[in-house]
Amino acid sequence: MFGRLLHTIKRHMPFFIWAPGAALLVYIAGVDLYLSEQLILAVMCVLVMVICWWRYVHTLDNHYTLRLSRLLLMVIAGFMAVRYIIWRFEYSIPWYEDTLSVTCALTLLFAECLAVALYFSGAFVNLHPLRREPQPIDLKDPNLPTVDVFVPTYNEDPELLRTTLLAATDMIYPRDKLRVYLLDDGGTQAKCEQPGKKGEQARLRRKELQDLCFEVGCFYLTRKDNRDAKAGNIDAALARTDGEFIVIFDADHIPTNDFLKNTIGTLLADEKKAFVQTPHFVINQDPFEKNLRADREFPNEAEMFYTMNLRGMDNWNAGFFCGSGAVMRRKALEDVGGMLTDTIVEDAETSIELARRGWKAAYLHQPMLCGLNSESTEAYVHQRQRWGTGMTQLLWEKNPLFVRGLNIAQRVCYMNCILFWLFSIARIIFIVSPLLALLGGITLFAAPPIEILLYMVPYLIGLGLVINMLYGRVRWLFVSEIYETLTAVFLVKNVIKTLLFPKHEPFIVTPKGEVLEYDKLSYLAPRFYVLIGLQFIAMGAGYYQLSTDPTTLNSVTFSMGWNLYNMIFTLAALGVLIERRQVRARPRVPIHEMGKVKFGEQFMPCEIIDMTEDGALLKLPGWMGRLDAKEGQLEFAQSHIASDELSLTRVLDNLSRVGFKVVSVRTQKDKKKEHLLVSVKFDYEDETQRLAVISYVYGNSSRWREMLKSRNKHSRIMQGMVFVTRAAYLGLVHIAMAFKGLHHVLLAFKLLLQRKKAPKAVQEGKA
Amino acid sequence: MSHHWKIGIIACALLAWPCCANSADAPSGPAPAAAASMQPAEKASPAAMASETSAVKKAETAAKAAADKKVPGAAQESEVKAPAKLATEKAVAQPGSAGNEGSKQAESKKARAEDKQPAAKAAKKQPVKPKRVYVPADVPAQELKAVSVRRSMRDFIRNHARRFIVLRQSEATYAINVPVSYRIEPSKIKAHIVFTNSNALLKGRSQMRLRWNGGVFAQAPLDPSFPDGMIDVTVPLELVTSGQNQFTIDVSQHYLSECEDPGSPELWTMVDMEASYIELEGKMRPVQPTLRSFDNLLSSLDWSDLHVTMVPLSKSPEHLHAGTLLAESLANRAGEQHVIIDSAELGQTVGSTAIGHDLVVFGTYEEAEAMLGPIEPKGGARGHILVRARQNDPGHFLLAVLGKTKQDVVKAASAFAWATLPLSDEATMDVFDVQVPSAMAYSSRHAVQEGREYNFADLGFHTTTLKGLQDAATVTLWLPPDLFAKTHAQVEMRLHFSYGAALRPDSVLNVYHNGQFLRGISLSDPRGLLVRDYRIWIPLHAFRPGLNEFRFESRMRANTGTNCTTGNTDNLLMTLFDDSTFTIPETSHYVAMPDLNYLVNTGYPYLGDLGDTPVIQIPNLKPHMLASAWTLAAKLGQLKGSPIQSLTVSNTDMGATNVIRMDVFSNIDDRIWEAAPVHLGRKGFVNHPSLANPSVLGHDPLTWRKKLNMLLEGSEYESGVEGPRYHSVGIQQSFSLKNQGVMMQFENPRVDNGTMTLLVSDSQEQLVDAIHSLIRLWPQMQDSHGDLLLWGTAIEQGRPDFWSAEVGSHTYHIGSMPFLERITYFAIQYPVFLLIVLFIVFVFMAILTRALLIMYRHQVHPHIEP
Repeated sequence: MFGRLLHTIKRHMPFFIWAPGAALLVYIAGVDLYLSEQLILAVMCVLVMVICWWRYVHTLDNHYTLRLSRLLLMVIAGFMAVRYIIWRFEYSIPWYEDTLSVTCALTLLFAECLAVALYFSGAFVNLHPLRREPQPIDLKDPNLPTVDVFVPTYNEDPELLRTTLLAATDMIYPRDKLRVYLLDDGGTQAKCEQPGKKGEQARLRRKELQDLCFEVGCFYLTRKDNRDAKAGNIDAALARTDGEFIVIFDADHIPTNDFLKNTIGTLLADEKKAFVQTPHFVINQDPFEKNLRADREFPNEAEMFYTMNLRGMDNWNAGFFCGSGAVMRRKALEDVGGMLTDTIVEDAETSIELARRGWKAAYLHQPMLCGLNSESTEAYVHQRQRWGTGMTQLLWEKNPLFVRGLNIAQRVCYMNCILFWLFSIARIIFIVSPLLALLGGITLFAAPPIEILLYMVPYLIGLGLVINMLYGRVRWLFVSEIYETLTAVFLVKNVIKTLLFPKHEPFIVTPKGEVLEYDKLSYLAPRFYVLIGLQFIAMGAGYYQLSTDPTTLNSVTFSMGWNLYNMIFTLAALGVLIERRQVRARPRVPIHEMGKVKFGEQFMPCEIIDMTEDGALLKLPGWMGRLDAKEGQLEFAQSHIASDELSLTRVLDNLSRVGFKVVSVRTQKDKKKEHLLVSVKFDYEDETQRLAVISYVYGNSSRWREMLKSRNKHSRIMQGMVFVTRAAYLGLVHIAMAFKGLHHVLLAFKLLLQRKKAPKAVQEGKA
Repeated sequence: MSHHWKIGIIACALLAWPCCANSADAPSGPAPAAAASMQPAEKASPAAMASETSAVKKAETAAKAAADKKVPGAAQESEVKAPAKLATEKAVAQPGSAGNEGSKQAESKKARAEDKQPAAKAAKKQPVKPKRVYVPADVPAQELKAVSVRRSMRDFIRNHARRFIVLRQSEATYAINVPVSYRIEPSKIKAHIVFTNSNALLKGRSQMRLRWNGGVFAQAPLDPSFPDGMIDVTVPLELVTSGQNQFTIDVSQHYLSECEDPGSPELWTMVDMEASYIELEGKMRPVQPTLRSFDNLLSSLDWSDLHVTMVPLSKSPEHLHAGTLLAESLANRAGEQHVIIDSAELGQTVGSTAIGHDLVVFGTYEEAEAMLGPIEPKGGARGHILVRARQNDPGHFLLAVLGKTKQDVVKAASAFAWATLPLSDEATMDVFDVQVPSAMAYSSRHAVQEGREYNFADLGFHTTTLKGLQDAATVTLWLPPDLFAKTHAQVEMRLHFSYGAALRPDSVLNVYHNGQFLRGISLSDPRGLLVRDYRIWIPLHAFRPGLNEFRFESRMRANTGTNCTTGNTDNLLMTLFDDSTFTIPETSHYVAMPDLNYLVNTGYPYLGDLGDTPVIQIPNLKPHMLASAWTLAAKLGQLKGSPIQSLTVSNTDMGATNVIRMDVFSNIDDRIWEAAPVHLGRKGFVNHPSLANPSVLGHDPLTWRKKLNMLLEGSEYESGVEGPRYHSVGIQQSFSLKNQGVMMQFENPRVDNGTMTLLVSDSQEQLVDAIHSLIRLWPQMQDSHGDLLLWGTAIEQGRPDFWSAEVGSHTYHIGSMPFLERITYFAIQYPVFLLIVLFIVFVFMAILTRALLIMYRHQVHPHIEP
């Protein structure tokens, strides 16, 4: 018994050393100071935090996470957060106001606690992210394990699937050990047996996909019914396959050639590793970027999760399977009974279960697949609703705080993932609170505004600096507020509903590859019209209060300031809801590599500006005059495939050629030189040529790495503010467009009324 | 010890031979009779009173005769010849119901009155048995003293707050309490009012009324043509009662016959309370010798100081402790009047010198036997308390507190000190035992404790209805002086009140805290309201250590609609219920010392609250030093509002942590001077805070603290950190005293965190005068602070003659506070300290976190670089 205790103490020794210090800090955070002393403390802390932040952010090796300035900033910011929350608990709740005020104040406090909990768990997760390197493998080793690649599909476009399947089959791995399966849930027996048009469509789809598989060289699998959606689909395939490792790709996730080469080694090195997850790299703009006209100004929203969180969780051995882009050990999957199906986030649920049973996981931060963001705001919102609902379900089904077998770090990491989705509740509370204060006369704080500011401002500054330091490369301060504001409005209902009634929710597939031919106002906008309207009225009410009762100056000004802040982000979110036209289902990938172009018999060098499997934009340097050719041939080198690995792929030649038809030609002036820009559309002779193009465009992981790197620049806080202002302006444009639309509707309605009121004779005459 | 011996020898020498003889005589004779006489008063008193009355009459006759015969210094003579006289007394006293001083003395006087021969002759006439001499030797009985005193009205205002009072608006009232002592039979009370009224008043309708206990006894017009007025008027004696009398000045002021604004600014009358006075004439009443009426004898004497002479029958530590307790308890019973204590030694001729004083005698039965005769308490009682009129001065009392042993004397003194109920209508009380509560810390009459809730009723307030245009009610509470006021520590006051219907919307209840306006509560609902839990929060640091006063002043107006119609003032009612509460926040007892403010306002740290035995140390046990010590003890008891059980007086420091030392400055040794802020008598630097008044230089308005407070608006209270010391002027000088007293406070050089308060003067005589002056100045010294207090021994009327300053630099802390909470304390007191500690911890935690992360990485991911 004593020995066991000693062992426990020894095992947790770091914690026993660290905990008293943390306890002391928490205690000091509760010290009740006079306002002047609090101001000095706040100013000093903010000053030191800014210096730490500056030193860390402006150093060349700011990836190094153990820099003292980074840790010092986190400690001080944590201290200020704890101090703020203690102050809120002890001195700012208006206990003696009316019941409604107390309820609202406590609700606000709950939201703040949630935010602080998320902040702390996030900081813990990202304290020391792991940077794994691929483990090399001998591709000629006859003992390499067999790999089954699963591409589950439900209703995706076959052409989208073709690209994915071709890329999957083209991964560098011994041919005899690699099998690619298309798991079709759109052509299940149950679907095909549906009466009428639906059944017919399902049968047609099944036939089409079977043909596609035959052409591509992979296996078609389907099942009796659609039970348990994607998880059920994978489980069904597991029973019918026998590969030692399983790779899962979503239908739009195109892997690079070196996917298996880079991942399998990690699993082979440790038998307790259940899976290796890789990041989901997306090449298209999400609706925010697209609609706010941010041309890759800031990193994609998902990059924070893949660049920071997963690496952080990997450090604490809290692996997270993201549903796609992972290599899994069949044995581990079978140990937990395949993909779990109690929630609609089978990936997260399975991850927790694997960790609970002692399986390890690894995250390899090398972009080796290329996916698509949802193009429309509606699709984006649907996707977030599904994730939010599913993660909230986990609180009931597999709450990391209570399930057995996880260590403390794993519990914190998984809870952080779940808590993230409760942000919608907090966000809505933050938006509604000043409205209640201004419109309903609710008292939210039992403290003078100056005291609120003295405690709140340093906390918020600390929060902002830490967020910027941790996620500055992958997420912009303030810009993320727009994401959250928009999502929260739609997500909150799902989250609360799931919290109250955690029943099984249907799995809704996120539409990908959508096309929009013209700009339009999203149908999601009305909720924001109401919100903006209320915020405007609240500002009016505040102004009225100020003009009639000057004694409320401080509290009303505080509420109005808060409301104005919310208004800016609500307007910015409204700006996102102007859906911009989208003409390409899959965007062109920037290439900027040299190739050769052949018009007639003459080859000449060209620069491949960008390219997809459908076509490319070519730059002919120094070309003067006209281009009369209507077709040609493009030659490009598969430089990312080593010559000795070529035999392991299905690409025939390192130097690939594909024929094209010229779509358009224009000249470009660059440094006093004129170039010809030629837009071409590929004209494939066979699948081999298509495969070569796919391999060239999507098969090169270094390309994704470079793209990622080019976007990975530390954000400036001012940039974020400027962007938000621009977005808020677009929100005003949205309102103007809506009024214009309303004007049209009213005009039509007026005309209708006039028509009804017009004398019969006139009507007849017109007729 | 040698000192005691010396006193004993002197006493024996004075008392000479009767001492020995009495002991032999004791078993027989008077003892049973005495025992019988100490049975219920109805048995003993009539006889005693009868003999006393006759003795008094005869004593008066004798005194007259002596005066008629123009025997100069007759009284003195009788004192000088006391031993011989006593032989005569003995002879007379023997057959009577002996056993009490009264009867014996009566007999003695009778003998003296009858026998106008020299004492020696009397002795020859009758053989004398050896008898212990009792002291004081008495002088011939006198007539009841005539009294004629005049006091400025300002003296009747608490703390002499304001010289001028201004009565505004159409109706205004100002009331003061005028005490009339139970000892005085007033024959005339005259009020003299000096006022100035507005010259805009309407002559026919403006008037001043004077009321005494509600009854109007004078009225005078307020004439705008002659705005400076004066009223001289005699108060009808039928309105006067013994005890507190309310004297009210009412004014009705108008500037128009109708349609006037009752709040118009030209409606005012100013009364000069300094120039106005009340004059009392009368004569002393004979003291009623019962314990029940004892409190009345002591209280209501605000017209003059209460002089008490204390006679310890021995000077053992127990006696001195008993004397201290008695002094405190007398002072507590005396209310707010100054108590000046004199002391007389056994054998000293106090009888003559203490005429006009009350006399307190305390000691063992054995010691008192000579004076009071043998006393045998009934049923094994350990102590005895006795009160009676002084034989030769029936307007004053003699209080005897006796015990079987020295310890019993302390018990009897404790019994007297703590007895608050008027249980006995007798002249005597037997004391069997005393159980003083063990947890005595921070107790007082209206004391409150941290973390507790108190109804107003707990603080002596009873539900009160405020009536009319303006009225007021007061609640007081006594706050422990050493409570640490955290930033958000707030006292919550929850008021429960109701007010009448049809009040005008500008009716309010104003709440004042120690005279400062705190909150105005609108009484504006025309339907009238019952309000529960109206909350007011007052920061703890806004409280004064010790007594705090909350005053609720109603200003109600009738809702008549216009100024031209007379309002119905009968419905101007507002009731403040006594279930209103104070909630004191939870905090620790911990303060930075030295600070004379605590001593002046509460007596801290000599209240016995710190679980110690505070000592007043005097250089010797001579009467005038004892008198000084007991006078100060009486003041401390008065400040606390209850006896301080553990406080004692000694000629050593008794190893106490907290010591008040009184001495001549030349007697103080260097060790103490080194700790003191100023070394008297030696050349050295003295920090003069702008020479006399520390506030002359004011505060620098541009200090960062000021700027921050301006920035932060609401932060009206400073954090208690003392102002910068660079306002002080350091002068290297010698420091001597002449007609001045000095009080210094500093850390006890012998005990860490102990407090020594040093009261010094040039000579012992000067010291006694200085202490008496200090007691009289005390009410004006509420805002004293720092570690040095100087005061003049000659007080000029109406002018404060004292200075206080902080001249030392050493601070220390007393009280108890959990270790971690001390961080809060020091953080507030020394923000720089907080910042330094905090940033050290920040860096330490960052480094520790870094080390732990590296350790973890090595353990869990050994192949990956940290």
